[in-house]
Amino acid sequence: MAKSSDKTKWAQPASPPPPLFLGEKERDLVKQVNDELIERVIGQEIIYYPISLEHTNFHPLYGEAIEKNFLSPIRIHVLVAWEGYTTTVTNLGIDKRLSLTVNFHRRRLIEDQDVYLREGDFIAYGDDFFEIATIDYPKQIFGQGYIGRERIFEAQAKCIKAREGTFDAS
Amino acid sequence: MAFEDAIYTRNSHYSYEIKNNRLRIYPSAVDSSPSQFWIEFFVDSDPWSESDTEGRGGKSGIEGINNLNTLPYENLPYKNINAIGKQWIRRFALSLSKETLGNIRSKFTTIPIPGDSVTLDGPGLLTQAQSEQEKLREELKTTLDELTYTKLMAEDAALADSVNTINKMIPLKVFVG
Repeated sequence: MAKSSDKTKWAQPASPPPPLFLGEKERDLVKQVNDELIERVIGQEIIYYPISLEHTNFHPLYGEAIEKNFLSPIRIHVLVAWEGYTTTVTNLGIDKRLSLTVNFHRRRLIEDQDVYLREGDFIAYGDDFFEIATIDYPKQIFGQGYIGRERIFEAQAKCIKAREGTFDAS
Repeated sequence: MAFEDAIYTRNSHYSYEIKNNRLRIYPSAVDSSPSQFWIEFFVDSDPWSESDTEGRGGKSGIEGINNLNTLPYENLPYKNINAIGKQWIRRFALSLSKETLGNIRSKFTTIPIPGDSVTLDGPGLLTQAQSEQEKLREELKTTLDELTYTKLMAEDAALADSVNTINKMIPLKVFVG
């Protein structure tokens, strides 16, 4: 039996090969299509008001702030799902609450605008102000595992309309 | 002689003669002659005999045109193509571009967007491009078929027949003796 040379011997590569089908180019394509579609075709936008903890006088025990100060507002192109009003009837009367689901293109948000979503921040959509109640990251690009943060594709914020007096940026 | 005199009287006296690969011009150049002469010439070629192929060894079509490869056709420069041909080329190029774009957009049928997904029009572009290319090829073929000598002669014959038919209907003059 011939002795195998070093060239034919298998050796562990230093790093795994890049994905053949879903590499950086494909991720960039997805970003490009999304940017174009969301900003140039659909064109829905919100104004994001990040609440400033440093400049807000919140209650030392309860953490509540009657008057909230915010950093510079930022315009963000998003896809908004309008959920309409939810009416609840209690012994105290009828309550109507408007809610939205705001879908963010996360890579655009982080890489281009340097914005990080937080529960408790406010947004303006149309003439109304909404408070971000919950934030979720429901979708990855083409179902790939959590390898890098850029694979998380979408951020979803459930928002409820801010009651009168809670927040006023006007 | 009278004929030659007439030629010399009416025509220019400038002439040339090639003898033993030497060019003799008349009249001879003098001091007042132009300092430069331009000679326009061409090498006569016989389209039926194949010139020696450059470095490709031998003459495959020595007996004349014996297949499509020995046809004396050369590449047609784009600038020599007429407006109709250029327009056809543009339409075909557009169709090829659609095909390429269709292939690119067919790689992913759907692309995710926040909250939903968007379907690209790759397969539609491919179908459209193939249909257009087929139509353009058919159009070109039809146009070329109409320009064959047989078709042109048939059209001329039909025209002549029609003229004869019309002439038969024209009343003849009444001869008055």
